[in-house]
Amino acid sequence: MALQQTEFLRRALWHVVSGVCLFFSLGAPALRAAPLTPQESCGRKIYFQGIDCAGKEIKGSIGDLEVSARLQPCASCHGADGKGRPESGQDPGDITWRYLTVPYGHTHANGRKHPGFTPWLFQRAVTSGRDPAGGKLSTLMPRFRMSPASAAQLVAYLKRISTDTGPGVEPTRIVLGSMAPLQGVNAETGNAVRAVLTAYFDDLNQLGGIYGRRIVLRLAATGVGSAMALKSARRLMATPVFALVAPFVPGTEKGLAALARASNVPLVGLLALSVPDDPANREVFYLLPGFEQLEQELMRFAAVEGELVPGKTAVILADDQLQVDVSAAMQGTWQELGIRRPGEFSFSAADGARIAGDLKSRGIDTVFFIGGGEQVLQWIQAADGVEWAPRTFVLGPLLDGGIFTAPARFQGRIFAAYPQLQPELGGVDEFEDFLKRHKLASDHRLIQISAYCAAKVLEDALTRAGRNLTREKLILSLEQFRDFKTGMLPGITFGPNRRIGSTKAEIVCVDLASHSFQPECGKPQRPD
Amino acid sequence: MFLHRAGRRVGRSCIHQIPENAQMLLCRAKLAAVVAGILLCFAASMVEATGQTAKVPHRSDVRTNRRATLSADPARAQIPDIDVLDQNGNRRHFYRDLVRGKVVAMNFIYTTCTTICPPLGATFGKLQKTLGERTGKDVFLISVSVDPATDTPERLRAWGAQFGAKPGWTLVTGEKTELNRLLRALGVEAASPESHSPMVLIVNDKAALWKRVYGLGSTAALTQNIEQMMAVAPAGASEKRP
Repeated sequence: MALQQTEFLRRALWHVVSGVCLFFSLGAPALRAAPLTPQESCGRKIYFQGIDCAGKEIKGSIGDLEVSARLQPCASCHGADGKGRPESGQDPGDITWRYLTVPYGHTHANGRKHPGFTPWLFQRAVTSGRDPAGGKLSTLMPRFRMSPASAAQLVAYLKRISTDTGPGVEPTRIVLGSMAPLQGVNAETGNAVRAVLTAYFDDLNQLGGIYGRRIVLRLAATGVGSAMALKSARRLMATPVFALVAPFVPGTEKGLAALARASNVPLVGLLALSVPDDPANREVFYLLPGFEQLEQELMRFAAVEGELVPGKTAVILADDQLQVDVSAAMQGTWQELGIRRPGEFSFSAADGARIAGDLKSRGIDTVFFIGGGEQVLQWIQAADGVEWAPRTFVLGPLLDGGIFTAPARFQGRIFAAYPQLQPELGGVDEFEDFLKRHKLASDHRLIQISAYCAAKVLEDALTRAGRNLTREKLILSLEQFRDFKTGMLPGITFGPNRRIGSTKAEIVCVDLASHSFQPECGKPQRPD
Repeated sequence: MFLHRAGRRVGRSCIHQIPENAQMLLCRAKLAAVVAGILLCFAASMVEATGQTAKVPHRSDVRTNRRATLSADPARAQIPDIDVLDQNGNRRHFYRDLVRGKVVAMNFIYTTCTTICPPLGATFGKLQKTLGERTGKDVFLISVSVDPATDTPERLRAWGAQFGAKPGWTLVTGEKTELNRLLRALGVEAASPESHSPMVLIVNDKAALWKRVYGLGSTAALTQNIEQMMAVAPAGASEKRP
């Protein structure tokens, strides 16, 4: 009996000790990660953006050089964690408050020694470049003109910097956001996206989440119209969320991307048909190519055949918005291919026969048609009306079943580009099993796969970014992706200048005989 | 004493298989080249000595590339004429288009560098303002990327715009191995972008003079150094005088 009691006490003690250890190793720092106070938030602005709480730029000088803290805020040299980013022999040093105030003082590599800092001594160092012993700081350290109030705010933030994980990251959870329409013509697709994302993160949470943190997915409806969608996005971002995953906002993609940039909210796997290749927008990561890249792939495909003669090629523009999106990308590709930019012609259904007759008389044999599925069909019928069947290259995602009603003259003459999927055996099984387990229909397969893969990419990026999570770390970890396998898409690769994970396109031929898309049904064939 | 040592070194290096009179001529030619080099170093060091940032002139700090003594176009031999892309995406020949016949000041940067590059950029921005209309006419500024894999022309344009880059300040990137060749030739090759040099290289191509200055020092001193380089007469100018 006594032995049993001793064993019981020993085990109880073990659990208590384990619990305390766990508290201090995980819980304690996490518990300190409370939201920033207003003073700390102001300090954060100074530290990262070089502006004070009123939004006023802080200025300073390096020698006789006037510098702006906007261009060189504290974080640029001391890093997001305050521990310093040595570069070219310059060591900006650790300025976390715990380190600055060590009671035994500091001895620098150049022999300079001084006691620890106090708030007043810190303010003096920042404004006049003197350490606590009166010694000169590095000439590279700007002497900032900063008010005592701003200096106090900066100190307040430096005390918190090591536990400042950024908005949406809490001790036990990471809050992510997504958006999809709940009403209108896209409601069904929107619901499919929501269901996939919810199921994916439920699975992840059951496996323990990421570094012990559960994923909380906040879903917002897009509402009607772009203005409403953006309002909803602003509200969602302010809740706050750490990042957005696979938002589906038809017609508001560009607005949402701009908002993500302005709000510094990473956006992974925006489901969009137009995908601007814009590394300047650091926050937005796309998985698949959009119209711009598909059109470029069509041009390269046609050029490989060696039959792309400028005098015999025309670009027909039937949609103003698409023209804006695609034209600039095409211009770059003409240059890349070393081909003089061919003539561009506007198309309207009413004027179709005249345009077709005109182009036929010019000897055009290749047409890049930028327009929707209905317009493609109108164009083809107009060309058929003048007994002419030029090779016609179109954007696949805009086609509908009507394309198979094209006149027989166009057999083997219509080519369409789609984002390439690359399902692997294991990946397909995994996805099918996922749908089955969560009783999800697969009526919107392409967009379900896109949302599923976006969640997968984000999960991996969050894991790579580590437990001490910040948005900047997430972006940097995404930039490290090289040929990441999702099991359903081609390898995903991002980089400092690359925001589209896969640019691969599948070029298919419209087979009017079998009413299907075929890899080849006439010249030009897809190159090996 | 130094000349004597230099003479002996030259003497030892002469090849004894060559007939004696030919050896003598060769040795004299070499000795003359060494003396000319020393004199030119001295002349160049006088320029250097007037600068505030580098008080002690050193042979490696000033390279003499006198056309008359080395080759028909020695500067070109020193600075590889590699293909580069400027901030507007235009293809340029580094030496022919950006350096030949000009006074240029070059710094070495990369756009994701956050510690020393912003001051380097701000220094060039101020330099451009100080030199005013002379920038792009009498003196040209060049920023060479040390991280060409990341630095696209668009990135360079955005980076330069932060510091008010105007015509006369060209920012260049290019193919990594080619740029490495250029950086090696200019003496600023580094193992990684993070360890690149904060140096500004001032070249007076007509006078065939190079000068290295600390790029994070005072802008006034840098301006003074550039003005001194601009004031140096082109190589061979004295020979042309009657």
